[in-house]
Amino acid sequence: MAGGLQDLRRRIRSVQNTQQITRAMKLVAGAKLRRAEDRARASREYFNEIRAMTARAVFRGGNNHPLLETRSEDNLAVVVVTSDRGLAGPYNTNVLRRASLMMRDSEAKGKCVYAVGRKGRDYFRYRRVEIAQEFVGLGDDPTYRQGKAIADAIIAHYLARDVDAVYLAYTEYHNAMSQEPKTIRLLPVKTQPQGDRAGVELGYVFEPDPRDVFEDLLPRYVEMLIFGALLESKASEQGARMTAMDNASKNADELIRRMILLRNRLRQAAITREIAELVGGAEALK
Amino acid sequence: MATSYRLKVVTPERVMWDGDVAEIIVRTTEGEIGVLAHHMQIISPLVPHLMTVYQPNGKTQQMAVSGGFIEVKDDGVTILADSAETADMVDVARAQRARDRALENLNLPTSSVEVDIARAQRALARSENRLKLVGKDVQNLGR
Repeated sequence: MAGGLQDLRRRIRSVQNTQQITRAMKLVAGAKLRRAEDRARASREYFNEIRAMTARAVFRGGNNHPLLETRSEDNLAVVVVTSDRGLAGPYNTNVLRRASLMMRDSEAKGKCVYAVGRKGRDYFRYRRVEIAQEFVGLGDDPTYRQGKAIADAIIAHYLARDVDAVYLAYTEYHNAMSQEPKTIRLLPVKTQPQGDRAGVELGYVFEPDPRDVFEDLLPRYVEMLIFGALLESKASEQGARMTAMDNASKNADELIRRMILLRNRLRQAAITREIAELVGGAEALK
Repeated sequence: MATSYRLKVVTPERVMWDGDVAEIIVRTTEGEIGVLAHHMQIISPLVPHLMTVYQPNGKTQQMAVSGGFIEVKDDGVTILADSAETADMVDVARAQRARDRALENLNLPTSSVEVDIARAQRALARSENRLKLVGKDVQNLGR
């Protein structure tokens, strides 16, 4: 019986230690979240503007660019943005499931993955999905340059016709409690059709001409989509981690509370028994 | 009759400008253009340059822009810049270093790859642009 008490004490200490770690991780994730959230928010304006601008330009300038032309989707690629580290609740699982479903449902003959983040790379490597290229160790503050490096690689593969369509799977950040995995089309560039046909007749001048503008605009559009996805995903990751660690800390609290109750009861029982034995012994001596 | 219009200067990192202006002067790949209210609709790439903004109250503001786009629409002007900085935001030491590095790369023997030369030239343009904004005489900085 005393052994049971000893075990219980050991378990309480073990849970308390784990809780210290989860608490610390929660605080760290919270601090990083604020930064990541600010950056994601600050980039949204550019993200929206370049999407709108590209949509208008494509609407008025036609389809005269290799990044715009649609070809049969024989080879599909998905850019999957995950984190390098785990312990972020369902964050990685959600986006990976989303990407897997998308690849399963596609009728393309060849399928491959651009893995951004260690978790995604390991996941697809384990499942023997072809990884066209991996980008790991991007750190806590993704830079535009990192996004551009990814975009450059993808555009090069696309122009070399290694892939015919590229999608982007990432996690959109709403707030610390809610993040939403999303897939959007990256290449060929496809924009939302514009409603106002009337705008076409009005003068809208491409200088020097549509092709030159597209030559500059479309790669930037792809870069920004990827950079935006990196920022959104990073904010989501920190949010998911903070929430997961908060839950873990609360669970630990509950666990500790129950075990302490049990420990006290066991200790009380042991004391009562000892007194009973003492009293019994004293009675016997009379 | 409005003589000012809404200008937005946006970079991937932040919104640099969002407000009314009287006129701006920017340099596109085709040359320098001034944009007043009711300018015709146009979209054009920008080269690294110092852009000048004339505010309705008569003040002017200069910004170092390193490439991007200008789009003039009926309801205002949007500039999507790779980066945009005002004089007080420029990291002078960093720009100096970038310029030195670019010059070093440009002075390497011609056996090096051509792509690197183009890149060094762009880096040089960007860094000199920033230095000009903080009032450095780039012509006489020496090579």
